[in-house]
Amino acid sequence: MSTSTTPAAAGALAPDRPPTLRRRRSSAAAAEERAAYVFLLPWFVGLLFTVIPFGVSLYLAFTDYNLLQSPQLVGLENFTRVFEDPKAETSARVTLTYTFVAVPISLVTALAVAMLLNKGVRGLKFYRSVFYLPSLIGTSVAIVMLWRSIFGYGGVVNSFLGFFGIEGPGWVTDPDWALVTLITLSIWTFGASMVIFLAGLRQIPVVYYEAAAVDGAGWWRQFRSITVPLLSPVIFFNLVLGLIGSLQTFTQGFVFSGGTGGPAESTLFFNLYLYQQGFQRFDMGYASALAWVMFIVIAFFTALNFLVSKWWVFYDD
Amino acid sequence: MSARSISRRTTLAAGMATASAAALTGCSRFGASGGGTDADSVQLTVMTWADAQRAADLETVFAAYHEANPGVTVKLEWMDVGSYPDKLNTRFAAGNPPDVMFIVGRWLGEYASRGALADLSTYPDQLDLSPLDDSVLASSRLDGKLYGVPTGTTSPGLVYNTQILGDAGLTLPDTDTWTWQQFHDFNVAITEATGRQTYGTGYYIPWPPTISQWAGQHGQSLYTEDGALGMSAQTLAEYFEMTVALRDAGGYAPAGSLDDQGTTVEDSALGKGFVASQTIPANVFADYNSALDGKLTLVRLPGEVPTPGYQVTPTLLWSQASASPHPEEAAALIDHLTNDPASFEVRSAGLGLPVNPQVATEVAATLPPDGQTFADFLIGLQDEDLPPYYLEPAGAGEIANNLVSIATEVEFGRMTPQQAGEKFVTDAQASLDRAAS
Repeated sequence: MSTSTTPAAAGALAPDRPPTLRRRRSSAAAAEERAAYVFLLPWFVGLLFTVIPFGVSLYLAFTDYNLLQSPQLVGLENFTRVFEDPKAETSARVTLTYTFVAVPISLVTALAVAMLLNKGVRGLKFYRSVFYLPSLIGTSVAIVMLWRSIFGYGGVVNSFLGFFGIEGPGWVTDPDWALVTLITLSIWTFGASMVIFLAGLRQIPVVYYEAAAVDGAGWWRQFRSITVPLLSPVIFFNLVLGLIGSLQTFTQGFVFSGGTGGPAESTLFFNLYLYQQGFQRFDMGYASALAWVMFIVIAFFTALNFLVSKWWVFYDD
Repeated sequence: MSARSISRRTTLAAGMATASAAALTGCSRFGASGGGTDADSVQLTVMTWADAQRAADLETVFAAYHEANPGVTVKLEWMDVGSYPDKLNTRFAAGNPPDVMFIVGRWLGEYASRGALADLSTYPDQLDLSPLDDSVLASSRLDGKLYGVPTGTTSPGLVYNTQILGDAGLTLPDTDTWTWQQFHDFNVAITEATGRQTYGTGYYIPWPPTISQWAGQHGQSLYTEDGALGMSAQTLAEYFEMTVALRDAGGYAPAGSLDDQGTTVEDSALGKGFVASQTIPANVFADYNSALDGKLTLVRLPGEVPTPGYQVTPTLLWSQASASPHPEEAAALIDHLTNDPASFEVRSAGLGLPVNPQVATEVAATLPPDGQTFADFLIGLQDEDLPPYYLEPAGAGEIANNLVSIATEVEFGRMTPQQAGEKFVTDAQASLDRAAS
């Protein structure tokens, strides 16, 4: 606390107006507030770089803009086009499939591993780092490239399967498998949510489990009646972040398919399609409309999450 | 923009010593002009895709150009072909396009209709178009304006690894007249003779030049002279049927085994001996053959009898950005790359046979053996009565992309050739309509 700051300034005020404790505190609070704003300044500057493009893209969504000639207002045309565009539909399906498969599986995996590690494993720090590592690097270009070659037709995975006489598919080139491979890559990066789960698990007082054990509750009963309710804010947090992150997937699809969304549009994520429209087809107006549709969809899912959370998230305060 | 700021930075660096000395003596006004000749020179940026060797060749050409024209410095930005279109679009979007760049024929309509490219016929003092045959320029002319000059001419070719053929005891039939059925049988024979160690072929199925040729052999054309779709669903379905039959019989590499990602020739399926043949633009024969230690032979695609479908087309186009701050210098550079035989000395016919006939004769006389093979191949074709090549309409780029998806659907049996043909026509029509609107 900064109650003892600027004694000289307080002394200077003393002759005509004896400072009350209340007054001194409020001036200190004001100074602290000013300091806070100074520290927040970089964030406000950063905010400009978010708010301005936000506003511009909203405007562009109502225009025909090819980046080279000035934008022409076209009303709602771009938005009606989104709902008539078969490729937009394909890309929405790819993104939703990816999200609704990858997010639940990686949450369950993260929770399971966190609970195992919470059992008091020796070398906890080591395991925690090992499992956390992929989530730091998993969405990097280098790792996606690495996965590409591991899962390539003549890659390590197929060589391994070939050892057992199994002829593996083209994990990357086969349109029935490419998205599955990407989902696997996503699940592999469960470490970030695992670390948060682990922290949440450590917050749960051991006495609850001891009391339950005395009452004869088994493992499953303890999990359902103690772990899940007390961990529910953390589960909720991970779910919301996971959903938003997955719906915004871009890098994996881009690197995997070399920017095409192939094979046969099977990795054409919504964001990738948006990018194609904006930067490959020069159709920035339509790309902006796609971006706003995505924003609304993400906002909808997040709002839905918060609404539903009333029924299952338990805040223990 | 960047050209100017970079040259200013160069000035700054070069003039640093003088400037600091000048500052001490209070003559800083003269410091800025102490940067040497680069300070006043125009800097042009040329963007191409290339491998390291081709890039080095072009840099030699540009260095020599700077020697001859001290007022102009040419900076080459090169990358692999896969990242080129996105990079180029980003530069255009940022209002900072290169002055001179590679453009593919099927992109031309899209760039030109957006006003991104300069009309090259407006610089007669810098760029002499009179030696060029008008039919050569027809495919880059839109509404009376010329948006590109071909880097050279080429045509699709098929390369076979002669070592694999020799080991398998097989001899190519007469490839000037061979049929698709002979092609089928020959590739199946390779696969069988090598015990499936090597597949007969692995050519890139959705490659527009091959499909355009197939259309020609069926009395059609991929695009008509007025920019409409000229190929029927049935004709494309038959093309896919041919590839499916070849794959089913083992003559074509299995589904999913070929990866079209940009890698080196050495690492490709052909380079590793996974397939014995593939299609290439004939102008890169020298690059391919040197990567495979001279084992390749360049032959025609089958099916040219009785109706030929072969087309001799521009390899790529040299285009100029309409936003270039130095349009005249850029046009003069394109002239050098087109009409000056000296500019072909190092780079040879790698970007196709020169379009200036006089230059072509001169260059052809001094070609290394592999370049000569290509030149003979192309000149042999030019002597025949071939279907004409038209400007590819706006939307052709998207059509080519959709074709890749459709071919994959067929490759994995998710679409029949018939369905693929119909989807292609529907999608292509939609792309053309949208581009025209």
